[in-house]
Amino acid sequence: MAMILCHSPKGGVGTSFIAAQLAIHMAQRGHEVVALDFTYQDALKLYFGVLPSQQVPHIVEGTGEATVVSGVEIMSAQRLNRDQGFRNLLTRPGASSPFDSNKLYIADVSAGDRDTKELLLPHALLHLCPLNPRPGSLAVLPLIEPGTPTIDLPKTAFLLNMLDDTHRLSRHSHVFLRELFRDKLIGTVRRDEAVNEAAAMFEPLSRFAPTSVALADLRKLALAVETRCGLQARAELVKS
Amino acid sequence: MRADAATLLTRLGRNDFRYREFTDTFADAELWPIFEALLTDERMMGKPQSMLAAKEDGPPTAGASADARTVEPLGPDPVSNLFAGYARPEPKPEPQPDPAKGDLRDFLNRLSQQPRGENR
Repeated sequence: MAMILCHSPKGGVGTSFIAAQLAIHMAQRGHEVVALDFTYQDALKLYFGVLPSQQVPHIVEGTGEATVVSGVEIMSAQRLNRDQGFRNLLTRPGASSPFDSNKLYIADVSAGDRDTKELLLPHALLHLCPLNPRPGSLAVLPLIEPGTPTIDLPKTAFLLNMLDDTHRLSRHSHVFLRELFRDKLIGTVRRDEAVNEAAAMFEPLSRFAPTSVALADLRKLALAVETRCGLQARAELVKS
Repeated sequence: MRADAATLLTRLGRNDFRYREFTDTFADAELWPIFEALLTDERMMGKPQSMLAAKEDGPPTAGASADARTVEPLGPDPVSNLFAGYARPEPKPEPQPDPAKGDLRDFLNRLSQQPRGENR
């Protein structure tokens, strides 16, 4: 079906959390979702409630049983950018994308791993770039795609995570980014300590804090991503 | 849900919290220097478009397609304009706003007109 690339030029903005939640919400909407963890930190599974000691199968090596949580198949893709076969698959001219299947792939890529980001970007239907309303995150916005002005990036949509309306800079950052990116600011997710608490309890957020304000925002995000990527037909098909 | 939150909800006789949003109106936002730095960064916004490029990209202005005979000459002596480049340069006109990005500059202006500290 498609691949959605989750990558931010700044670490610590909640990219893995967003990738996991997007995967869960897309699965709830009827898509067959595979969450691919390209990070060295192996942190994506944490937001599904999977223990650090529990191994998830590697997409190439295929070791271990399939791990499916909240309707999402979780796979490790660590060091895949160094796998020559995978690189060839993605860079061979005229070759069809390995992500063209009936599944929706959500790729979580570390901030510092620009190599993987560049490798995956041509095959991504959407590059989702989480930000948070802090100077460290805002200041790296010009670095997303060297050579292309950030406001002109065709595949990139931005998400403001950890928004806290009780803080002035957070509110103003929201207004600023909304005005700057317009419809490229695809969503906002309000800061909720329940997100950290759920991860610390190894529970999915929806089970740990079903009334979390972040969950409501994530539902809206999933809808916005569906619309942006033209994926709504499948969700509606499943509903009917 | 945290135990203290659950207890509070029970005491209030409610099942859920209502979240109050502290949204700013557009006019209340401040121009933080980091916003200004981003707006003036070419890697972020692209290169400012020249007047000529903006004219080339934009729709033809009213009358542009009119009879060429109606076009005013550049000056009383068009030939002398050829050598204008060797003369002392005229002061550069103020850059015209890029039509595509003009709203952003308006935004910057509106923000910069807000007295600092108004909303602190």
